[in-house]
Amino acid sequence: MIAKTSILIILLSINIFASEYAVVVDKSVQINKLTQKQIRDIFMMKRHFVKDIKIVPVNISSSAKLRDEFEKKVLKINRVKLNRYWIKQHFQGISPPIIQSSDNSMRLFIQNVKGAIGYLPISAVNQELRILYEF
Amino acid sequence: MKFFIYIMLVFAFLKADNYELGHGYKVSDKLYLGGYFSVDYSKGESLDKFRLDDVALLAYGNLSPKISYLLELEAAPFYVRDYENDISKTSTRFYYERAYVNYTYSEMLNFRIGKLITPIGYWNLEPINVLRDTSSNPLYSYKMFPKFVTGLDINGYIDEENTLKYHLFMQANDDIDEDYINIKNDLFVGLALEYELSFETSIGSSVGYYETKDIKKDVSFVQANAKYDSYPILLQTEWAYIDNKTLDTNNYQFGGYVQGMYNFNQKHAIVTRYEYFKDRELDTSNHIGVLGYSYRPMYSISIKAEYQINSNSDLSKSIISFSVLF
Repeated sequence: MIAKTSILIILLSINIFASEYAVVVDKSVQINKLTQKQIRDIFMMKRHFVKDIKIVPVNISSSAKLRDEFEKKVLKINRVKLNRYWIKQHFQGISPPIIQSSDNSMRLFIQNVKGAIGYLPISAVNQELRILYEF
Repeated sequence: MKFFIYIMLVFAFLKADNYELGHGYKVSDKLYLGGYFSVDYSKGESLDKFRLDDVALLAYGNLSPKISYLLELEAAPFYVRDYENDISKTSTRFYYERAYVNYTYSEMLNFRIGKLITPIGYWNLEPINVLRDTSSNPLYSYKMFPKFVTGLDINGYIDEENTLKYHLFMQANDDIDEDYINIKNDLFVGLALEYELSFETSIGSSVGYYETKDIKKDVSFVQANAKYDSYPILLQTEWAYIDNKTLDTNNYQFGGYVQGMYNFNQKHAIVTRYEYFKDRELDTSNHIGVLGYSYRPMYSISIKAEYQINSNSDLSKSIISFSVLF
């Protein structure tokens, strides 16, 4: 009985802590992996290249749960502080990443724009995309 | 007329779809529009002044994946009413605050050509009222080095992890708009380094040399800065030492500040600053203490009040200000 309960708890834990989302690029982009800091720098427009590849970050619209999760787990910054950051960047002449309104438009953008990088639910990642980071 | 056009533009932004105050108006990827303004009132022993300051327009965008630009025009001060001397002055001329093109070659090598803000420290890079946490500027921010460079800034990250950034900047000509710079010069070179210890903490340092125009001086400077920004606390400090030579004199200036801010919540904060500035040539030194309060109903709207205690008590004053970035 104890053994069965332990196995059940372990299985539930695995399920709870499994990654739901992924940062992705098109398979033609020759990048295999990124660190959390590199992704944060890319989406805060502080990094524009990985190796020699010009990167184009894409956000999902701000009302999406996926965007919340990305900001919380990858950018590690709350919306208020992020808003302050972009207001300051506006004065520096730097605009935030472009926005796609749905998972589907995000996927199409990544597949069609050279160097585009975005994030999707893992369940929505198809064979044309490469996962660089899971969260 | 210019001010009327400016006001019309502000209202056009506010009425536009998808416009969010403080983030600019996106016409296209090639053109973002924005601007800012501030008003302040200062009262001291021999000071009683109202200003409509910093009336500015901003345009920037990406012309291609590697080329971007920024143009900033500013009329400052736009209107001044000096109650102490019973004088009013209006200046509607817009000056070139910034006008440059960026070419992004790689993470390590980028070029910025034109008139740009001198990439030193923190204060100089966010000089406008609405982005500052106090209405006043420390003496350090406008006495030590030219606030702008009209020339070339080569910049980039030295390391793979993008934590160490450099700026190598140079000017070998007059400023684009000489009426609008704190120190007129025709030669200015410098190197600035900024190291990001963590997302919250950074340190930096710079060295430079410039030659002033009105009174010929050869000036060398060394500067250092540090910042810790972790909500609700923000601490920052900057100090500089300059050595200036004329034909027959050799003098120095030393100054800087330590500033701390505590946010009670997203809208309300208290700010305190200590400043020191010594000028050997004028044989003066100032200790200045600032205690201020900041209210931001939105981050892009700032209402601030402060009291400055100056060791030269004639210069002690109170300032209130209202500023908006749109």
